Amino acid sequence: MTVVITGVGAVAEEPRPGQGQGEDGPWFDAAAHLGRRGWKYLTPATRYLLAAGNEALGRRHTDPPLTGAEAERFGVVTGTQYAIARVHRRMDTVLTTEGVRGISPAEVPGFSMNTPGSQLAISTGARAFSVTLTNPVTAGLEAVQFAVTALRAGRADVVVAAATDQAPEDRGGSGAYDAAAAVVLAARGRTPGPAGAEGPLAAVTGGLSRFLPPGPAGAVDPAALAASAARVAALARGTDGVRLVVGAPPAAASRAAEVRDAVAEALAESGIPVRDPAADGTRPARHCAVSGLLDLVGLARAGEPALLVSLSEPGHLTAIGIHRPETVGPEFI
Amino acid sequence: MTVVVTGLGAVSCFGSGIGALWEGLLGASRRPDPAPDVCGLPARPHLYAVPDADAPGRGTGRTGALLATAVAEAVAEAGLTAGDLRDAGLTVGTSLGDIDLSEHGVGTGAGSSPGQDTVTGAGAPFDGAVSVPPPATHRVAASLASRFGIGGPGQTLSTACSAGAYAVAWGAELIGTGQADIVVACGGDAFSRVAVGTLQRFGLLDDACCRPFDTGRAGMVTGEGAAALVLESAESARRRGRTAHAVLAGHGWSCDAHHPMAPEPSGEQLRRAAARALAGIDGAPGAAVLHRAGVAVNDTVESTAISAAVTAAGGSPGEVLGYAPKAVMGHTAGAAGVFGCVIAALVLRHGLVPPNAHVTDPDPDCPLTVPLDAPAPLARPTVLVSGTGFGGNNAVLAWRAAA
Repeated sequence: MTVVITGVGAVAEEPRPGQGQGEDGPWFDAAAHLGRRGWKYLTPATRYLLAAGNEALGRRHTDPPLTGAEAERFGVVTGTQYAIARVHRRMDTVLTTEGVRGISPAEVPGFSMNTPGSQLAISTGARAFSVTLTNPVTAGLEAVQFAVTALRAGRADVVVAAATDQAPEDRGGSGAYDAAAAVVLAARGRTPGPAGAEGPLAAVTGGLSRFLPPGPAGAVDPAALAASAARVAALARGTDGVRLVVGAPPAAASRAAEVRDAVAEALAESGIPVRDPAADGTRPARHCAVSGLLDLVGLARAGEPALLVSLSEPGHLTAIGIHRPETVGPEFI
Repeated sequence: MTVVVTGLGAVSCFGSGIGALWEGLLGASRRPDPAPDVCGLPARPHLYAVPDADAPGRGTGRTGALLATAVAEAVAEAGLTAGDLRDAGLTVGTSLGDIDLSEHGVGTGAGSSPGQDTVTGAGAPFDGAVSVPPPATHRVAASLASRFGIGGPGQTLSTACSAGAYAVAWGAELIGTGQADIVVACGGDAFSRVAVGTLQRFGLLDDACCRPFDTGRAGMVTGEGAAALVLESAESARRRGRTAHAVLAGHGWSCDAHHPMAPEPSGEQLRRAAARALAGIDGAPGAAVLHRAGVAVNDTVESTAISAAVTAAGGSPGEVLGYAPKAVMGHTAGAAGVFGCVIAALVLRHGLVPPNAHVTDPDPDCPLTVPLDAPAPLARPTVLVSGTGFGGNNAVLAWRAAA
């Protein structure tokens, strides 16, 4: 069964040193994305997620949610690492200074990590499942891996795999920025016709997750690295070359380079060239858990075979492979 | 592909270990303690606290420490070697992760330098700048994977209070789709000042104790704890020569898509998840470990949904022994669903369902049979486990005894 990407959406703050920060920051106009009503009490991370999800689905925030059998075959999976960080800290301050009466009942759901994803599920009518994944950095691509697994297991016919993050307060100088991204994944053959006006953007060849902790000197165990690189490279089977993008926080940049070199070597052993290596390579995961998904959105729009890898500082690695949309997908690696 | 359980672990308000958990459940008398913090309330709220928990390791919070204790027990019972764990998966259900790192500033205060990663103790500032973000609190999966050398697929699931049920179900999916032969599925949550304060702001806490089956119930009481299961394919267990404790017969997921905090009143989506789980067994299960937390609306919706699914499967709700462990261990949030599965395995092992505690006036709206005064024998070797959470996130699992 082949999983295809039928829609993508993204909103992302880009580095602009010296800009002031509003609640959402000056880069995001909630009214432009969501209309005038229905989002006042939602957190910024939730607003970003709704904007990206709606764009990927080709819907407006005011459109009615799905109902009936279609809703029961539609799922949402959301990755985030800082969804509640600001809310939680503010609530904690209120509790320790003003007491519990200082917290508005309207903002109570905001303390739960899954609230952004749940709001997307409520808004769109996703009744197959709504799951939130929270590993730092890799959670965005994990959402895709989760969605593909659920589609292949028959738990849904269409899944929005999304990610959202609102960077922590002290981002001035931290290099972390707000963003959300979403891809719509569908089981080809289980949905009527090609979703989207122009058909699928890409086929997903598979996904995998590994844990590669840094050793005492910071480098990964060579045997474990080689084994994982071989698994990642196998996601490119059937292609005549791939673009290879490895994203990681700057603190894990050297390990990202190690992973990239190891995957490139494994690809070479399989006779699969890396395309346009100068343009891709390793990238700083500036948008927290959304980073990998932002890369996926861009590469899916490009319509070329690609391997995307997200690496976290503690050692999680998640990889997703995509191919041209007409491709028949293989099984998991 | 058949998925079995070969290892169990737990740390709860009864102390460390599966034995302490089972004894505490059978005792059916535990009541909560005062929480360690007033949480912005006029008086300290109640908490089913873990006594004598291991101190968190460097860069790990209290939830991570509880999880490490539970996982160590499960991994030891399953007899997993370092080689087995190298490609094993890890799924973690948690609502708030190591939230004490945020509430008490651990990892950003004394003893850690700017830019230091809270798990590894290594690292450097982002972009070479002096200022760094506060620690993401959901690093428990990384700390566990590092500590136990678990090198396969690893995810942290945070579907509020159904996170544990989803973690077990997702672990089974990883095995069923060939992404791992063995998965350590676990869940944990520790005391959080913000969680308790905000739950009280919404009127969801009982100021006496947790009373899921009593008409006088007034809400949930939070609890601390962690639980773990070693899941593996039946073929893997056979190859390793391990005895299975229980077999996963089926599991179902659904989402209410209704409200951020309240369940969909008809319970239709929870019923659908239960029906899918029950499709793996014949008729009614012998028992149901319910999510019931003492919140009247939620408890009633759950009873209605589970009963409807049992009836649709050809059984009668009265044949099913209903059990709500939160009465004696509190609502352990992201751990609750894993505790439910561990308890299901213990119920199958002992052939007994513990009595439900703190019931003076039994809930007349629950059509299941509710043991009150003594353990009840399990008539059929199958147990249903129900998990629900904020956002209407439902996961239901069905277990049967190993042959």
